[in-house]
Amino acid sequence: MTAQAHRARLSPHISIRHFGFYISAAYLLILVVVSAIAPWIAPYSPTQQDYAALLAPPSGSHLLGADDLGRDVFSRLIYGAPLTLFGSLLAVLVACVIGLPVGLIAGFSGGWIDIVVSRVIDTMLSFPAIVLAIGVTGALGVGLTNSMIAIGLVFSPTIARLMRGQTLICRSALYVDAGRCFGASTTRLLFRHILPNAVQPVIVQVTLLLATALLAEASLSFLGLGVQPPQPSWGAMLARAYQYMEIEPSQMYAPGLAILLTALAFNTLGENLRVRLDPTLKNR
Amino acid sequence: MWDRRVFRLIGSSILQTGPILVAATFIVFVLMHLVPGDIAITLAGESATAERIEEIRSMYGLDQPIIIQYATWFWKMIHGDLSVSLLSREPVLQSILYRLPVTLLIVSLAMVMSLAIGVTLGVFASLRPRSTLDSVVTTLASVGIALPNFWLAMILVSFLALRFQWLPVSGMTNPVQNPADALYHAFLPALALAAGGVAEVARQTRSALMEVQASQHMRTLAAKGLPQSAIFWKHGLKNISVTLLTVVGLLFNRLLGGTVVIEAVFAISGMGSLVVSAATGKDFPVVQGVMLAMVVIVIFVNLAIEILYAVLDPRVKRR
Amino acid sequence: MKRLLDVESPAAPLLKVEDLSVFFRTGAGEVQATDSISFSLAPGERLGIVGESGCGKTVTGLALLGLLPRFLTRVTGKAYFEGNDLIAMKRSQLRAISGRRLAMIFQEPMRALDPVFTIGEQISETLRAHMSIGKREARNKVIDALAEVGIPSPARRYDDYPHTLSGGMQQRVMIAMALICKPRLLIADEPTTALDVTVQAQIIDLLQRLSESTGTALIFITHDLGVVAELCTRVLIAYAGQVVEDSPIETVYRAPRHPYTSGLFRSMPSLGIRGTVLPSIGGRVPSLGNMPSGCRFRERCGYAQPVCLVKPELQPSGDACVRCVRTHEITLPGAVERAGNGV
Repeated sequence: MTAQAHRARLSPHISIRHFGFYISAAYLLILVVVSAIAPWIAPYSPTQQDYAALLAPPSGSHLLGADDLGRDVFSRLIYGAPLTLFGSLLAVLVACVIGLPVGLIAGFSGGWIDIVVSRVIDTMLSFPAIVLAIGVTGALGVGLTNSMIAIGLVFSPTIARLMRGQTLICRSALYVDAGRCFGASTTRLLFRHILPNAVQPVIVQVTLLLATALLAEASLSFLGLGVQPPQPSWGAMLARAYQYMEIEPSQMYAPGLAILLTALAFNTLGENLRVRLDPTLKNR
Repeated sequence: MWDRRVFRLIGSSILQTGPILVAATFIVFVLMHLVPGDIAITLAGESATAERIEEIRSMYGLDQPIIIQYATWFWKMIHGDLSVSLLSREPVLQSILYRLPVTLLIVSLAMVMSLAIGVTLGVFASLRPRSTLDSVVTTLASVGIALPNFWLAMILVSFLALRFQWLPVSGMTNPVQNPADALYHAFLPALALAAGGVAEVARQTRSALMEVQASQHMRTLAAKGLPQSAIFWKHGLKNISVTLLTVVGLLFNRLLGGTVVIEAVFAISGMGSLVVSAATGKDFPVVQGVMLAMVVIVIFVNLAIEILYAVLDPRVKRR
Repeated sequence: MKRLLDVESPAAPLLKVEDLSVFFRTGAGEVQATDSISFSLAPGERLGIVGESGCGKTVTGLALLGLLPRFLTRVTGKAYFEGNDLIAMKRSQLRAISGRRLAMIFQEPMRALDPVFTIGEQISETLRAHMSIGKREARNKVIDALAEVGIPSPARRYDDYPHTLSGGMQQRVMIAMALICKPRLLIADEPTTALDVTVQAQIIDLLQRLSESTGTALIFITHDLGVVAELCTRVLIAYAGQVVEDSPIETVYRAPRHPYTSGLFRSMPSLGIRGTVLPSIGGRVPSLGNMPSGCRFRERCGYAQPVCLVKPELQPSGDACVRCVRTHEITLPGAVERAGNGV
């Protein structure tokens, strides 16, 4: 009974949550700025080779050392940020472009369209995501753009399912019926009433998907299916570092940490948004 | 327990699995048609002669309508003919069956680790909500979910295998021939793979247990004078078993996908490394075969879980 | 403990609650939920605790069995049950009594029963937690108990899950479970509130019959004075965390001593005058964190005077106890009187 309410007020987590939210937002903002001004702040070009520093450990001239071709790891890390962010954004964008209209149509029209779409969604979600992405990338051809389109395609059922659910909720709500009585057209209903109401959960899902997309991008680039050399994606840098791990293990820390922190920031942001937008979750 | 309701549920679950299986084969089939341009040229290779291209075209039936192609492919598939690899000329089914035990061993081991460690952490976190231990577990879970598993694999190899040499760096033996050695080799890959699973299981166990503990029926148990241990281990765990089962279903799918990257790190010749090399080399029959095998496994695991739902929770009727 | 029991004289109360106060810990400091609740209960007696929601009656019941979350609440005072203080007891001691000597049933039987265990199993485990008894013997006892509370074909019902039963049947299961070890005291926290009116009457009858046949004392927590009139011999009226009146049932109906009690009678539909608007008590129950000084009912009371600014104590008045300084100066309408006038 009242104990629940008291627990919520007691919680020291609220402040920690807010703290996490601001730290994540600040980190991502810095990452975006770094991506935008990478050429001006990176000490070296990402492809510039320093033959005197092959597999060099961290030092004054190479803050995080240099890779097997003598390229500055720190500079490549900075240049990797825009690529990694672009990859994640592209994947999520593709997922939305496919998923949102499919979910909207399925939810709004109901009937056999809904049944078929739901079954296709279920089926696509039965595939291990990364395997489906690898298959699609294999068909489209390797490369950052293709692999991200593949990942977007693989994630689109998640968005479609969410959108379908939201549409069903909104459709059954009274005001949509009211709009129909007044002779509003179907398209108008979709865009004026259903879409704005579904925006909040979609934003939460998109933020969380950015983390998943980032990890998927890193995996595919690590496997050599994503970013192609000599471009410096974090996942590709890890693949490089892995080959020379026995000689110079220090090179694997920075790119991995960058992936971890960025995914963590997206997740923290998403979870915070979810709690903020959904009052029933406040007590958790 | 095994009353009519359960049997009806099992029946309906099996009936629902059929269409999904067929739809999955169609998705796998259609994949090849995503290839930009003429598939026959891609399959034959850039430098192939015109005759070779035509030969490929008729061999794969690419000159026929897509639905006929699918029917032919489907017919062959259900008879165990998954075609041959374009690169190695080996029958696809054979190479999959050869590698399947390795991958399944790693996934199962990772699943066991995820559940064992994850449930334990979740239980302890839920016992004292908002305590230091709870905060540590919650934070670890957040990190675990954002952790790239292949990076963790690299770190584990770097320390446990390279520096301290406790475990093998890479490789694998066939689990069917030498189970003990295979388990020894699978330990590190499974551990790296399990990190995300541990995080997810711990998080879900914690929140489900906290919800159950706040419920009124747990209060009734205390009013009945039941010992704390019975309240927790008997009633608490049975109440969250459905949540755990759902997590296991989702996790199995994720772990199976995760092995792809983990196998690459440990140079293990399993299903994952097979599909990666096939995708890079445009060896479509192999890609299709692996995807098909994986999705069929996932669908059957989900079917098993559906049936367990019915057994574990008397309230489940029909989904 | 057994020895202590023998030492007690036959007139000794079964339960004696002294100055029981419950505090909730909140982010903004402690809030007092109940203020020095005191009452006693003879063996076999049936006591009603009546009040509006939030008056602390449920909290008192939970406090007696130690069911309040420990890290969120603080309980002070004493509650001697068969001579031993429940509040000072260790968890293990309390556990030995709970379900065996002292049992409780709750407002929503659907939520109070574990959904993933059969009702038979849930009753049987209570029995086996307190007695060394074989599984088969326990099963037979449980089936007898189910029959006793009026569940048809109990042997078949044993293996049913709670959700397959109606609310009334679920509450019967709860009662069977609470009484399986033949406790001396049953605390029933609004056991009929969530049920249909016809089922309510059946459950009340059942409780009365079982209490009489087994000699189990009953604390019946409710907001419904009418139910108390049928079932109980004495009633405790609670308001804003305090006991405001403690009277035998006939006294309280004929001549309530506290203005709040009188107000409760006037707002009872069954006893009101047909065809008139039902009077209600104006104003609201003050919130826990914001209690008025002096008499807590003052701001809603039609008889309030400046003298009510001083905190009143619970004082004997005839065969009752009342927390009102003006109780001897005012005459309050009771239920019997109104019913007589109205019809």
